[in-house]
Amino acid sequence: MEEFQPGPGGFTDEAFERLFKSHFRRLHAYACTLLRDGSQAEEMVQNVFARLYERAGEVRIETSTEAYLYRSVYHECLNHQKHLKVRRAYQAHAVRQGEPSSGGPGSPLKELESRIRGAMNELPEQCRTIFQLSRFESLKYREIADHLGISVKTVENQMGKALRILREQLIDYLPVILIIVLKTILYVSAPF
Amino acid sequence: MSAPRFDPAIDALLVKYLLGEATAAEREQVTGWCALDAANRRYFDHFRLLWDASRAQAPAEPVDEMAAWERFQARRAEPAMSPVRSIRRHRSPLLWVAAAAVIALTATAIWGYLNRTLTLQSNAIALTQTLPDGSQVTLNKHSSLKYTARFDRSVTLDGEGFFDIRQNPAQPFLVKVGAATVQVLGTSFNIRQGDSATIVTVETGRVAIRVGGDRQQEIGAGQEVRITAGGATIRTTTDQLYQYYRTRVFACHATPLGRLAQVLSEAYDTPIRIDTPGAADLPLTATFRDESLDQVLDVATKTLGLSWSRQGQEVVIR
Repeated sequence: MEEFQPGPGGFTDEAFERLFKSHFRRLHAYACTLLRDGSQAEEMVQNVFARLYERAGEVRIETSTEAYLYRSVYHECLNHQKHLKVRRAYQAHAVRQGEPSSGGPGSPLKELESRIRGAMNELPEQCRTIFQLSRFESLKYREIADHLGISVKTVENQMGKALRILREQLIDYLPVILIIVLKTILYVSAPF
Repeated sequence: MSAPRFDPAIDALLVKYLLGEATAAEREQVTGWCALDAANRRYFDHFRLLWDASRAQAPAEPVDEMAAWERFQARRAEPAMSPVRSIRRHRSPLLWVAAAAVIALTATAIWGYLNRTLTLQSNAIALTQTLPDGSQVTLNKHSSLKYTARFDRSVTLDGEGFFDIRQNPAQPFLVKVGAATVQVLGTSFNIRQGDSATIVTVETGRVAIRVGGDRQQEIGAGQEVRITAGGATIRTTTDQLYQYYRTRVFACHATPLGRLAQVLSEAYDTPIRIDTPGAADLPLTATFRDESLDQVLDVATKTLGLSWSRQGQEVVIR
């Protein structure tokens, strides 16, 4: 994979276009799993590229470009989410005040999905990125290490850490997960 | 539930095994570790479950990077996104003067822009809007709310509005209405500006009111203050009818018919006259939800042993 380092004078437009096109889909997928909204995810990734383009002369990329882009998208999404959370909390509050009698708990499946999503988003940035590339891009440890400019050992450790954190976060929900996973397996493997 | 001792090496190894990245020796190691203790086995099963369950979080919509690139370029073409270039050569004194002038002009323009007045105006129907700080306002018909674009939690009301204010102890919320200023920290209340009096009704929390140069007065939930040219008087809220434009409910609890007629007349833009002497003081207890004027009048008059009819534009109760 091509390495890309903006020099002191920026970079050529062709190089930037190549960088954009070769990374956009994966970064968008990453933002999607963080935000669950395709168009917002696109905006986040566009923001990151726009900033990189504007500040090409200033940005010093210490690790690999890909690691830098993932890190930026991760923080962009988290900031966005923080902002949304504040707004939603208020709206939820306003709705509750308006109609005190309505509103019950959501379905357990939705609840579980949002728990898993929440737990995944609790992972530290590097851990989250590695988990993403392994789980959703199906990359091998070696490939992840090459992309992010880190050692295979680091990938191994971070993957172990990812599952440990998920387990700690979801320990109370594991029986529910068991039932749902079993159902899925039965459904998928059923001949009719 | 007992869990194995914290060991990052084991965690890494288990996941490696799970993803088919482990060597033959490592696979044996995992099998051995799981066989050691039922808790170990369960721990590994948890990892597998979580790995399987997290698949459902996969992004659903793949995106077209070519189209995304087009959008990126369109965005870059916008003036705000163009890179800033610095001026390096020919630094004549005149240039500094020019630069200072440009900065001053820009600053003035930005300041003016941030301080420009925004107006929220309701016409024939009530209007609910969230303000930039998250507070919510419902304006009754033909009312307006003015505030600056940079929003310093200070607004000017003309007409009637119900406010649900977001708490921010560092910056109180101010509503100016006529000569009075209502100051709040986080609460909900109604302000109604009439021809002769302005009435502030507090639903939750407390508000402080200052009229002109007078002493500040505080009122709490269930109280209202009536501000006239002569001053401000505090009293207990008598009914919840003031809420109707927000809740679409007319709630009467031993409410005089005259008061209901006044609110109905305003809500339905229909003059209502009570012809029978003393009938305006008859107390009525009833709650009307989303009903037509005819329905409300039917129930109200029947309850009180009266009747109503239309005479041209006007409704007459006798």
